[in-house]
Amino acid sequence: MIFTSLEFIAFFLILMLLFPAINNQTGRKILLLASSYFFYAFWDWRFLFLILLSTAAGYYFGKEIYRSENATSRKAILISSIIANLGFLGLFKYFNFFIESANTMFGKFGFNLSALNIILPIGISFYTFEILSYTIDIYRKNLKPEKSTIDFAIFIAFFPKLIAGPIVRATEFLPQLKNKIEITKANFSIGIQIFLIGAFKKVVIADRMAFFSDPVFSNPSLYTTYTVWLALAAYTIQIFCDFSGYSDMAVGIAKILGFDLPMNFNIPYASQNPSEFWRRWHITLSRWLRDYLYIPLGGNRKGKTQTYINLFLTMFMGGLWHGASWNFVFWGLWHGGGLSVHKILSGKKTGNQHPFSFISWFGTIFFVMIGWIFFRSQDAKNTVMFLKRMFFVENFAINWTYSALYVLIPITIIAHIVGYKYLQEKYPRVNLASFSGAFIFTFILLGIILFYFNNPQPFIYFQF
Amino acid sequence: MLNILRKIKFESVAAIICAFFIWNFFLRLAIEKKPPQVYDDKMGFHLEAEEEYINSSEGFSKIKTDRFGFNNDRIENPINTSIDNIIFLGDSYTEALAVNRQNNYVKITEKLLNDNGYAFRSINLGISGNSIPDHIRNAPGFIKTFNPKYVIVQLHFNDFVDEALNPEHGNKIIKKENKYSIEHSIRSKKRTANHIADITGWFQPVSFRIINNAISSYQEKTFKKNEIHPSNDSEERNREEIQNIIDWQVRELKKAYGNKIVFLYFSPLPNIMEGTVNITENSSNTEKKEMVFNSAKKWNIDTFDIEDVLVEYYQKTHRMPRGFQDTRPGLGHLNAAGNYLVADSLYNYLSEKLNNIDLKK
Repeated sequence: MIFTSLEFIAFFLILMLLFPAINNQTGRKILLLASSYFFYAFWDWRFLFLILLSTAAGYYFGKEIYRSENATSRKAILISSIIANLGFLGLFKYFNFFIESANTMFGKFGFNLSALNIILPIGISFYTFEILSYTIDIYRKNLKPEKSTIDFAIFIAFFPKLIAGPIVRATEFLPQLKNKIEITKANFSIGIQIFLIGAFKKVVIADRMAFFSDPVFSNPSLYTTYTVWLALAAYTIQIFCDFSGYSDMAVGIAKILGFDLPMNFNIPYASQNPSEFWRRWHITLSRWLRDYLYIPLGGNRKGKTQTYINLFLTMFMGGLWHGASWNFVFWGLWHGGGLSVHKILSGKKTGNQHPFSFISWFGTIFFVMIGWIFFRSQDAKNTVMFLKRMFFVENFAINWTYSALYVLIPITIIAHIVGYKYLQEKYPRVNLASFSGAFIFTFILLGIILFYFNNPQPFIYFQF
Repeated sequence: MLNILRKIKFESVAAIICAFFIWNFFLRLAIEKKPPQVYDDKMGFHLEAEEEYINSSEGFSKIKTDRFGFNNDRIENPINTSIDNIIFLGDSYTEALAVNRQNNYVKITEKLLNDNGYAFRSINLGISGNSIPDHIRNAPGFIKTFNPKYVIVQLHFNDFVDEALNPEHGNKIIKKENKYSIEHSIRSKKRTANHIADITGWFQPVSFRIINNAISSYQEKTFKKNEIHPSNDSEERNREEIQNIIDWQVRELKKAYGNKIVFLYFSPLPNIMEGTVNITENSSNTEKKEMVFNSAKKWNIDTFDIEDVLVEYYQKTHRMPRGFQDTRPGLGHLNAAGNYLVADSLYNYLSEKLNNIDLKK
């Protein structure tokens, strides 16, 4: 049940109708939890047990860490909690990857283990990180364990962010459950706008770009250098509109229900260095990696060499988080390298060095785009072929172009320039009662309806 | 109710109309405008007569239909004793709305024949979505109206199977008491969308897209396969059933058009599939082709295949004979090059096979 499906619209309308019918807060929380579990079970009911088990474990470990006063036992419980959570993730997401990699590496020596016949439970990477941050925050004494099991279960399973984020922290979500839960006109007006912007990005822009980029990334050797470059531009737009579109929809739905979820994207392609890019791209993941991995590793406090090692390690893990595949690992290491080079070049200074520098921006976007080749290509062979075709001009091949690109590339650039200037860390909003507001709203809504049935693609981040 | 109406602001209504208007404007520029299909007993379904068709989803073309609703120049007198007709039956590949008329293979074949001393008029009776049951059912009307000397039937394997058995089609094959027959229904749901949208006049692009999309989606979800569809059976019976269905259709075509008929077989190649351009033998394509060719041989029908010509063109130029800027390479209709290649091959075939009979002036 994806947000742009008719099933979801029906599900959400029923939920909206049921909400006012229940007057007490506990009833509404139960409704919210039940609908979240229904949403998850709609995909595959068997994994409902897994999420229930993870929730119970997180709740239990959180309480135990808080109760224990002995530093050693606190640490032991925390480690048990991390092992339990990463154990689930490792089993379902990485087990086959490690088995297959080991078979490839040591196959010559007769090493051959058979892979397990398992599928990846949707959303597991997202909710596992949320549970981990919850227990670590309690261990660090930044958070008290949640008393209410219902509240804790909603924090883990809240359906708008369950499948593909944003990765929410307990400190920013649990307090909201103590407030009155209600659907207000003001929240609805804001939420529906954010939702529609997200749906527009996905249905109208990302799916059109996928139409062009998918065939070229599948067979780069068949196309000319020009086509391959265009396909990379198309994928750069596609992945942004796909993932940020999903995040916007999640934020919008949550807002309608009265909850604020953190922003996940903040004009990322306007970044002028790799470090800034990661402060603007998938913000909730990068801040998680920063706070729970990079800083505990020592961050930049243990000398230059250790800082670079920490950056590589963090980005290696960030890449691996995206999927059990070497292309994600390379993508992570590519960014680890970029961050290190930027650290070397910028010395001790932090922040944006050249706020209006075209060269900085161009270098950064070029670096990010090359990274997307590792991210998107199916295997190393395709990655090498794609890069070869980009940098060694070949014209005796299929020279395919796509007219939508000539409109969408300039629109994306203009949208980023305008957004960089006027929309830092906020969503665009219009007054629906005004002419311009009603016009923009209807224009976006009609665009979604008109393109809805053409080449629908699954969300890229569902696989993570 | 009145209270609600009073609350609605003039600005909001105006804004909604403006948004609708602008989308419609964009779609009129970018999306094809197609006159609705109509039905008559003689010709079956075809486009509305003397209507303008604008295509921009595959390349760009602008075509005005003839007085029968087909992609031809205006024909004053279809049965003219001084010149013989070759009629071309087929689907959207023959209808060829993606290219201008002078670039479609039907017209080019006529030109090549005429330039080389053969007096023929080609009549394009291709209709998008048509398949074999349509050609069989339309035969009396076509023969009476055009009295063709030759009948070229452009077809794919799927015309005999998926298309011919599709319950949503106006003409489809059914099996009753172990006998095949063609079941006819006047309008399919999809055509209804066209008519509903047409009522909306200037807003046709927006309304057609919404209605057609909604109906297509509904059809996809509620699609029921014809009970004699071969894929419902085991692989072994599958092949036998398919061959029987093809045999029956070829026999009926032969009965309907007699010795005038020639098959123009379109393999789905060259096509980009799973990592490479699929120009080598694809076992399933070869098998499908064999089934059609065997049947045609049985009923003594000449079959002409254009696969090799299209593949050779790709190998020499690395350009696709089908598809346009906005269609995926390997998919889409024949482009100008593809149409020329088909016409050239068809001309060679016709001139070689029929040269000594009665074609020469």
